[in-house]
This record gives sequence, C-alpha cells and structure tokens, in this order.
Amino acid sequence: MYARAQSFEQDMAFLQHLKEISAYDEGLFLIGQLQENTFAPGRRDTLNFYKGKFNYYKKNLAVSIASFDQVSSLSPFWPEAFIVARFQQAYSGDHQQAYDQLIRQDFDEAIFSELKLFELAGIDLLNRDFDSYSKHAAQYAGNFHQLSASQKRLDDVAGLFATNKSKSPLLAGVLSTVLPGAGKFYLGRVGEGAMTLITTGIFGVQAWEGYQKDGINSARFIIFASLFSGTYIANIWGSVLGVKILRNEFNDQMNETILVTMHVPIRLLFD
Amino acid sequence: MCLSGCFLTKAQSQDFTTGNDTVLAAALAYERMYFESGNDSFLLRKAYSYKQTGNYTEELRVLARINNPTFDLYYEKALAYFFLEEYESCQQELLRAQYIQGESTKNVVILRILSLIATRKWGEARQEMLTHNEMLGISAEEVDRIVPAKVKPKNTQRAYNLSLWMPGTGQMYAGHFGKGMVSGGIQAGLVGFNLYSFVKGYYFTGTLSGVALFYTFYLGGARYAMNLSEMNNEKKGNQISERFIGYIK
Repeated sequence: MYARAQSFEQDMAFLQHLKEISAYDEGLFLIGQLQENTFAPGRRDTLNFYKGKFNYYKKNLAVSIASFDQVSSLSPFWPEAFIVARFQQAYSGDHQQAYDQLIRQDFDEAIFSELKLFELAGIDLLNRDFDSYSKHAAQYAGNFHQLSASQKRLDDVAGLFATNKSKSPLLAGVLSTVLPGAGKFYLGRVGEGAMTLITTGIFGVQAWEGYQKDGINSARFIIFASLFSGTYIANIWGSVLGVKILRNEFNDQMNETILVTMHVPIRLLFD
Repeated sequence: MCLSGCFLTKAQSQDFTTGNDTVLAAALAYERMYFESGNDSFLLRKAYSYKQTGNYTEELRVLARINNPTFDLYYEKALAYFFLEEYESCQQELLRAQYIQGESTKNVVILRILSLIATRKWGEARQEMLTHNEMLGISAEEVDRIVPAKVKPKNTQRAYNLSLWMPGTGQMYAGHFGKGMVSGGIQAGLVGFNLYSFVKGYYFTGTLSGVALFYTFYLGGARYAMNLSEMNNEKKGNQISERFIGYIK
C-alpha cells in the first residue's frame, strides 16, 4: 500500500515535469495509462485535473471542460478546475452555461470569490448586459494585485462601448449614391473608397465616350454603361453592407479583448 | 536503477514500430529515464523516437534540451533541419558536428552536399563532391554526370527583369519558349489595341482599358517568368539530388 502511494507521488512529480517541458501529448498518454489502474477518488480527481489542464494547454476545450468537471469539490484542485472550465465555456461561446454555473457557486477563499465576480463581469460584457456588469464590478473588493489591472482593463473596455458611435447604413447608402466611394469614406475605409471612385469613373468616362462617338445602341456604349451601372449599384449596396461588417468587426474585436482580459488573472493565479 | 532498466527495455522494444501511441510510449519511457537519472543520452533516444514518425519539429524540441555537446546531437539537429527545409540551420549544425569530430565524416559530407543542392549552390556541391570523391566512392566522371560543370540555376530576378525589358523573354530564359511567345503575343496585341483606339479617337478607352490591361499582363507576365524559373530550379535540383543519391548508394 505504501509502495503504491510512493509510486503515485512519483508519477505526479513526473507529470508536473511533463507540464513544465510542455510535453502535453506525453502527459495525456501517461494519464490515460494511470487512469486504467487508479481507483481511489482523490487520485482520480488529480488525474482528471491534469487531463483538463493538459487539454486546456492544447486548446482542446471540450475535453478539458469535461475533465475539469469530473474533479470533485473535495479535491484541492477543484477551485482551479471549476473556474478554468467556466472560462473555457465562455471562450467557446457558451456564455449562459458559464454564467449560470459561476453565479451559483460560492468559494471559501476570498481571491476566488473576487475572481468569480470578475469572470461574471466579463461574461456580462460578452452578453452586452451593461447593468449587470456595473452591479458585479461594484462588488469588487479590489485588494488583489493579481486582478486589479485586469479589472481596470475590463472597465476601460466597458467604456469603449459607451463611446462607440454606430454608423448609419442609410447615410452610407445615400452618400454612395451621390458620389461613388463616399459611403466608404464615411465608414473610414479611405483606400477602398478611392478605388471605388476611380473604377466607377473609369467605366463612366468610357461609356460616355462610346455614347458620344457611336451612339446609344453601340456595343461599346452598352458594355461600358453596363459595367458602370453594375459598379455603381454594387458600391451603394457595398456601403450599406459595410456598416454591418464594421459592426461585426467591432463586436469581434471587443469580444476578443474581453476574453483575453478574462484570461489574464487565470494565468497569473494558476500557472 | 532497476526501474530505469525496465523502462529502457520497454522503450527499446518500442523503438522500431510506427504507431503514434507506440512512439508516444517510447518517448514517455525515455523522458522518464531522463527525469530519474538526468542522463542526456535518454533525450537523444527520445528524439530518435520522434524522428521515426517524421515529427522533426518535436525532435528538435527534445534535442534543444540536451546540454552535452556531442557529434550525434549536432548531426541529428542538422538532419532534422534538413527535413524541415531549414538549410541554413542545417549547415550551421553540420559545422558544429564537424568541429566536435575534428574532421568531416561521410554522413556529414553527404548531408552538406544535399543541403547545398537544395539551396541552389550547385557549384559548391560539385566542388564538395570532387574534394571528397574518395570518401563518397564516386569518380570525377561520375561527379560530372551528377552535376555537369555548366549547370547553373536560373536567376529568378533576371527572369523578372527580362520580362520587364521585353515581355515574354523572361519565360524563354526560364526554359519555356512557347509560354514566352504566348505572353509576348498577348502584350503585343494589347499594345496594338491601344494604338488602334487612339487612331480611331477612343482616347479614354485606349488610355483606361487598354493601358490598364497591358499593365496587368505586363507585371503578371514578369512575375510568372520569375515563378517559372524557380520551378525550373527546383526540378533541376531534385534531379541532381536523385542522381547523387543514386551514385552514393
């Protein structure tokens, strides 16, 4: 019995070594072997924790979450397993599940309670629920150096939502109707707008030349007028659509920033 | 010690199989022996396990952890870099291997020649073959058949510049006469279209469509000439490597 305990401790030391040299595939292979012969609940928790951790490093989020969730609350690894699993759920886009599980859970250690509030506030921003964000942010104790910079950063991100003025698709379309490319200028895409103006202009003057020299029924006029009309209409539609693309880009960029910010204290506390 | 012995037997028995799990098991066993003994030689064996599956990136990662400089270490690194097509690093590691050994071994010379061929330094590869022809077991005549003295790689920048100077000539320089004729013909046709448009008074069409199309084909043709000469070099390099490997077998 004593020999087995020794052996498991050696295995865990070796597993830790594999983590330090980033040999995650080898670590997972070893865990697979150990799981076949490990039946004590505490040891199974430890193996599930390492399985979750190694898969987290390998960005196998679903396997990592499932493994972390098998770690029982009696394990000393449980707070880390629980919080990292919830972060990974939020990262995978399952905001609601992450939120519901986090809000129900209480922690004995103050720093984990603070981290819970911080992660909840991050999920609020991902959901664009600014009222809930303010409520969670107001509950910060604010006395943990591992979190304070990220809390400030998340507050800055929340401020960006308030100051960001959304563009009008109608105005972009009208501007492009008046002057090809003007809608793109309005959206801040100067190069794209200039290219549109030049291309439409090139087809326009060639259509005009064909009309002047060969008349309205000439092939030259029909070809260039069609190209001009196509480019002109496509540009109006492109400007209207551009507003939606711009919004999506802003939202994606914000989500990325929020998730990175939510991740920082997790790395600081658990790595 | 006994534990290490058990792992050693297990790892060795798994060395010459190809399954991913088996390689992982062997790599894991060698890593454990290194963990327990601190002996670098187990890391070298672990690197061999990854080499067998063609995982040269992982092999290099393991080799980078070895502190004790040996010929085998540098030669294995050179080999891994060669297969990853990082030829400059390969040659640097070969120099280190040669420094440790005090002289060039046959394997080092072969790998150096192959990396010189791959980097289009065919003249240097030829010189290396002639210098070590006895070691390699090939005669000067055979070297001539492997890399004739007159064979030189095409200069890709020259192919590009030639096409800018006279459209189509870059492709001809790269060894594709027909493609050069077609490219030159299309661009001559576009120049004719421009002139015709101007003569007939279609100034906007001549300037905007004609010139724009010509410019597109002109630059595209030059880039194509550059790509063709690069492809030609690669094909010739592969042929030289195959002939060289054929002779040293």
